[in-house]
Amino acid sequence: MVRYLYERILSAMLTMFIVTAIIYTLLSLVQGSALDVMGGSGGEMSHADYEAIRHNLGLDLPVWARYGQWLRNVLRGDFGVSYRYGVPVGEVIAQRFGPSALLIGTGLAFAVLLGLPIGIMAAHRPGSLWDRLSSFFALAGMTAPRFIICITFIYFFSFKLRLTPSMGMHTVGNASFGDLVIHLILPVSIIAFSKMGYLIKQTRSACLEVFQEDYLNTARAKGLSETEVILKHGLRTAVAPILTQAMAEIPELVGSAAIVEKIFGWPGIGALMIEAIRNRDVPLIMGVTLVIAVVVLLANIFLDIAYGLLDPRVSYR
Amino acid sequence: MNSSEFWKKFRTSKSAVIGLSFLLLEALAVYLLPALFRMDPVASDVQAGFFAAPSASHLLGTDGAARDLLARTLYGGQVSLLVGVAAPFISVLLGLPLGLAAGYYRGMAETVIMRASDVFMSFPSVLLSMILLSIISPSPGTLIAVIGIMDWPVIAKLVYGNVLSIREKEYIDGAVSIGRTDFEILSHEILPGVLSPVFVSISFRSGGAILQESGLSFLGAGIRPPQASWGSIISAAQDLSVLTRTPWVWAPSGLLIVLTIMSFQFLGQGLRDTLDPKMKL
Repeated sequence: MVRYLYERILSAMLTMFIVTAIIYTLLSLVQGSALDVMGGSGGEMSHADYEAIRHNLGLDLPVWARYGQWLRNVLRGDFGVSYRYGVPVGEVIAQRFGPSALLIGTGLAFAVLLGLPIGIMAAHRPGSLWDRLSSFFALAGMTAPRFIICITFIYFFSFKLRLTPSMGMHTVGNASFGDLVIHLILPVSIIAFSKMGYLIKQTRSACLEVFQEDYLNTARAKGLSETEVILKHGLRTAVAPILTQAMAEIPELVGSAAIVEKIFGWPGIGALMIEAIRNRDVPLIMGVTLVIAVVVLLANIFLDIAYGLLDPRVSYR
Repeated sequence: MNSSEFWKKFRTSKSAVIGLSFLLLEALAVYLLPALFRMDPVASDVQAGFFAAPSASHLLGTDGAARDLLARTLYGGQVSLLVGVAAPFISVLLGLPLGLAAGYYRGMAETVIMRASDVFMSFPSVLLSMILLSIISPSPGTLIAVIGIMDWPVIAKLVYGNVLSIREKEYIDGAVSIGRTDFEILSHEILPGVLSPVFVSISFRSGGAILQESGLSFLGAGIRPPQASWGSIISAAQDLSVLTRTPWVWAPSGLLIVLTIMSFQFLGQGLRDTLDPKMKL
């Protein structure tokens, strides 16, 4: 187990290194124009000033040297200074991390709490009305683009029914918990709705397979109630393929949360990334890239371990 | 399975037939109507007004630059369908050979290719696409390339998994023992076995590509005005007053995106059920 973990972490670090190196190289192709975005091009800046700023930003060095420098700084905890905000990248990210974690975490929790039972019930009576309704619901969640769900929800729930606010995390001057909750309702239900689709579908097909196994009949013959049979014996085996699917979905979850954050003006890391890419704010993009990569890889390792703990058939060498 | 058997079986899947019919009708509409009625997606009709409600002269109303929304929606459909059909072929072009190589040769090729696909899949593709599109200027062509490239690991993994199970079959041992070359084995024995899942997955990926394109255009990283695309038309709804007061601007394009993606999904499910109901995708 320890050896397995050690190998997993090592390979995750390698992946992180490759991801950041690729994105750094890509970004180096637009760094010149970052200067233009800052108001450098045209007649406003003399050639000597332009060169001096290029030198200050280290843009006169080759890409690999700059990447090496960036990596060394990161290892020392220095992510550089945002071109746009003029403050350390670490500070900007630290402010934005909490709101994102809150939004994604709550959305995911609701998706699991609702999606698993819906999928299990669908698999328990395949072809029933419940099964067909839930498949349609799942299909809608999987196929409707996030930004369209966001707009439709805002139109109906915030504007037509006036139930919830449509912007931000707090009403100005009100930092109470209740206010936070009503701001969370819409974005969280959108994330939960779109993630639930995959979960329902995956749970249903995994459970369908397991429910046919003979050992479930054995458990029934022992006199266990149907609920016990499904929860104790069935679900434990079905959970492995569900987790595999969940793992593949994490990057997509971060990406779709970014769109939700952007539309709702939620002060999270995904909206920050979209803005940073638009401004070609290279240090900020690199900082967020690293944070997203770390979160995705940590979540993968975590799910991998959960997989082994839950499925009795898996053992780590 | 020959083609008449295929159609006979395919026709029994109601949702697949509905999906395919919708897509064909939609393709006819977006490519023929604008030419037939000489619609102009970029001309401003200032007299009609900005964000004008649907009327006889502008059936879907006008947008913020007084452009006819029906024309823009149809031209936007051309972009979306083109990206949806073309992007998956780029993914197959990259993913099929890489998946074949990884599954057949194993060893070093397997490690490098599968590792690379893991790296690719560990970062949100929307954000990576946005970074790529900030380097190369966005157009239908570059969008097809970027979205196609983003999806190669999906195809590569699918092919890889299928090759692994085929290469254990006895007829492959047979082909090796009579001295056939790797190329002959790959193209004659293995490729036919992996084509059906790839074919089915193209339909699913088409829906995914349209989703990606519309999302990127919505965020302003894809097709930009004056050129029309469903995503860029809806992008006007980021303004709260457009969202709440003029739903005719964004609702038709939004509905079309959802219906188109669903149709590709239905088509894919129908193809899967026709070719091999037990196929894992």
